[in-house]
Amino acid sequence: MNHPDLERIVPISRVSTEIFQTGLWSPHKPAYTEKISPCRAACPIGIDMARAFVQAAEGNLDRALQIVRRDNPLPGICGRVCYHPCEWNCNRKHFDESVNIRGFERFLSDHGEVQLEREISNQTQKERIAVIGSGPAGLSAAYQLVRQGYGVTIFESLPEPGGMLRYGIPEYRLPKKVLRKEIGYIRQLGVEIKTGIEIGLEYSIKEITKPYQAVFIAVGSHRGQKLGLEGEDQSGVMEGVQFLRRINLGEKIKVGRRVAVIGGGNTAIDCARVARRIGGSRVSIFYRRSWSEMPALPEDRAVVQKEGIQIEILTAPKQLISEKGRLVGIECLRMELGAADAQGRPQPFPKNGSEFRLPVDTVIIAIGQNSETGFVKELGLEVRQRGVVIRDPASTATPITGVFAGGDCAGNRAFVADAVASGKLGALAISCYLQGKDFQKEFRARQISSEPSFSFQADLEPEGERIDFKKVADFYKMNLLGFPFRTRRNNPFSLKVEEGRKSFGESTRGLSRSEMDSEISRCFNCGTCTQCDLCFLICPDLSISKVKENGYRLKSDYCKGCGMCVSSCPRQVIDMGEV
Amino acid sequence: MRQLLSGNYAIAEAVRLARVQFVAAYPITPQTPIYEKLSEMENEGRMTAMMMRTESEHSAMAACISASLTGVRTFTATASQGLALMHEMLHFASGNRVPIVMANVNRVLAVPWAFGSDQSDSLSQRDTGWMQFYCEDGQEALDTVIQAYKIAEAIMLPVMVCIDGFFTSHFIEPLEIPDQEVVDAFLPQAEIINRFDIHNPAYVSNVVSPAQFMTYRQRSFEDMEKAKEFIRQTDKFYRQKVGRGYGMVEAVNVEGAEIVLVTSGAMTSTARVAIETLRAKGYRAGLLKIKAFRPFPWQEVQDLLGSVPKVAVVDRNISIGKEGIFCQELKAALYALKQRPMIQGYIAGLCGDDVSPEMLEEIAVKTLRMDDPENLPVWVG
Repeated sequence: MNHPDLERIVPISRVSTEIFQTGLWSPHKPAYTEKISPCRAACPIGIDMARAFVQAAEGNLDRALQIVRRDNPLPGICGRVCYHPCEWNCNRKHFDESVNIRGFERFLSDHGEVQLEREISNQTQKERIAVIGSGPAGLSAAYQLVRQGYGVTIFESLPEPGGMLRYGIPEYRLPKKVLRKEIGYIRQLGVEIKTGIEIGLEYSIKEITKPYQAVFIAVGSHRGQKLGLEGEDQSGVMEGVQFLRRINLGEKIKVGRRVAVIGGGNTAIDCARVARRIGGSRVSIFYRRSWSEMPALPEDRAVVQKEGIQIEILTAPKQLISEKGRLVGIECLRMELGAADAQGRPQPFPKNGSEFRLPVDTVIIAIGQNSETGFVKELGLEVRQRGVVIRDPASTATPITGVFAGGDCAGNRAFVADAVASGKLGALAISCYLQGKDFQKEFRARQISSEPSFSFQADLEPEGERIDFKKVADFYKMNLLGFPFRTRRNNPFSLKVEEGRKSFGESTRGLSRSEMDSEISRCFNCGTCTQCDLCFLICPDLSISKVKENGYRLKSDYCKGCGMCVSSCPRQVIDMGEV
Repeated sequence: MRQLLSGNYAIAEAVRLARVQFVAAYPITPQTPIYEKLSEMENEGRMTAMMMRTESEHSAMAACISASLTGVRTFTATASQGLALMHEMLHFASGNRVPIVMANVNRVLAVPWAFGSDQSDSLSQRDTGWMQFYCEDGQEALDTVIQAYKIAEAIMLPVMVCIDGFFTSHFIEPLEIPDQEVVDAFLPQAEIINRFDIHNPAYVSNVVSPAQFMTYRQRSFEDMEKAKEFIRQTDKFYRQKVGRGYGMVEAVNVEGAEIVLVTSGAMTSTARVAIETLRAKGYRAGLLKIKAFRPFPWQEVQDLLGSVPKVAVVDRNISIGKEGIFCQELKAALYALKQRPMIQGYIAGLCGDDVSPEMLEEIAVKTLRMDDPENLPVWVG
């Protein structure tokens, strides 16, 4: 038997399959929607780290750095001193451990090349803006404004720009050369920085800002608060911020052998570590609340203890003891925690009869700072307690038209990242003001999820990636089958403890290329397409095609809406929707 | 050449001798040794077929269909769950009229999970449009695979060759392996039409109207029915060339028998012993081995059993809700006769449970003593 005419026994078609578009039968269709990574949602600055990791994984460190710098001009600084809320929210922590995102930012700043020609604005605005203060808030505002084409001048009272970055944070945590490099880029982009201009004393704010169409006040808070105890002015008692500033100015300061630092924030930690390095052999930190209320980061507390510094919690000073005009000791009280205050922090109160005395040679007080903002009264502005300039926290706008305020002096959280974020917000508010745009509308268009953060990325790269800013990638919707467990690489200490506690050299070192590669491979790139091809390979109906340089395209003619691409995507980039 | 071989290896040798060009399969007990042996032959260069590793039997069958559509001789092997997983693609194969040959090593289907011989796996695929041949031993399996290519390529329908898991697949017996020249003379190079022509693009498995569908199905049905004559001739031709043949059925002492045992697969060897014993005891006992299940050899069955008074069908399978499947088929085949034997069904040896000669003798005697058959099968063992 033989079948010469096969087509009489087997159906075969020579017309196009287009007459039979099975995809038309289902209204459910997937759509590529990049989302915000949880690290980005948690970052006050809103840095697109997931995308920077994608670029770094492909070896494009310069592009990765460029992505980071869209939102943050200070990656080398934040990569060293940030409190990294990104890592607390990293999806990887539900898998093994969070990724060393801060270490990655530092790595990019150390190894990536800044391509300033790509950051220089191609438009020029006629307005000029004066920024008062060159700390992280002022630098950030100036950077974002100059990238939009505005002329910016920063006025700084101290000899070098940087604010607390320059005069607060010690060299072993933030080397000056890193700071100078990043400020250098801001200058190269066209920001003019005038140092040694102390507004309020030598110069009038009104006069100096006359040629400018807007003013951003970001003078920080540099005046240490007092304990309110008798004898605070005697020798042997120092104020923390002042102490750090003198150290950062290169002054030789002597402390006694036994040093007591009062406070529980980063300043207290830095004061104790500096004291340890300049001769204090028995350094103790006294904090009146408990570990969980302590503003200093857990890892910084660990470093302090490693360097042989004691931390006494639930302890507050009652009096400074002097003999013959010389400080000889401190009387402390043990504290108990009571009801929470307005900020939600439990209030400490002394335990009766818990007084005890300790012999000390030096006391450093680091219990918070006030802002020196008296000069703003000349503009008709009011200041609140602790010198905080009155402004709208959502927009940084003060009641005086054209005057904006950000950073610590505007009552923001006193972390570098929050200051940078505040400066960026100021830049948006100022550009909206100058262009007569509705700030709320412009902010919402750029807002990250429902966070207080936003990004200028669509303004800086209008042809760039399309992200749904309102959606955050969800760990439980990501397909993590392809990710192996891998140990996190932390930034190691540069020196042995015995040497480190004597040295002002940077105490941690950056990760090596191979160490960083391991961290880069650990990043899930939540919400960000890496063109891994899984959707393309898994689609049973061949309905996904690759588009050169630009990911994938869905051909809905044959897509039955099965959702395989959605559930297989490792990064939750695909959503199911209806057409 | 005479060689000690297991049934699985016998099938692998047949695939090599048939000069198969494409193999796609996935391992599953008790079929895996076929796949392994073919892989070994490929590695050693003894077989020129391209082997494609797939992630499932469904994909293996899909790959075989595609390969066969391009005009190459194609083989796969599976068992049990693997065959069940292939089910959808079995219809695609027969509907596309591709001459694939597949070895199925009969194994019980889960659940409960088990491994023994049981025909439920392949009989579950009865209506997929495949030809099905059940072999008694390794030698028959070897010869049947070679014959199957000739049949499949002439009829343009796929063929499933079944052997009993472990009993046949793993038992080692001395087998006669024909010379390559002999096989080449019997089975020349494949002349399967390549249905893909890049200059005249087309696609298969397309949508048709109900009326067209009826026509295609009817053609398949008629071709399968016509295939019986070709199967008989092929077996005869093979016997001439190679010296062995099996027929669609084999009858032993059926003429003049008062009781005929009907079996299939490896159990037949045991039944041969049982009827010898029964005859020695004075019973006029016969045996009918059914080898071809699809197409069903109803003419042979009618001719051979029409005048037999009593028939006992022993099934190593069960259609829950009715009875053994060979028994059903036999009853249906004899229905058209005015005079029909009394038929009693028995269920024995499920999941490779032992079916001894004594059990088969007892089945024959029990059937002889029955006045009327029972509606339901008798469970033995």
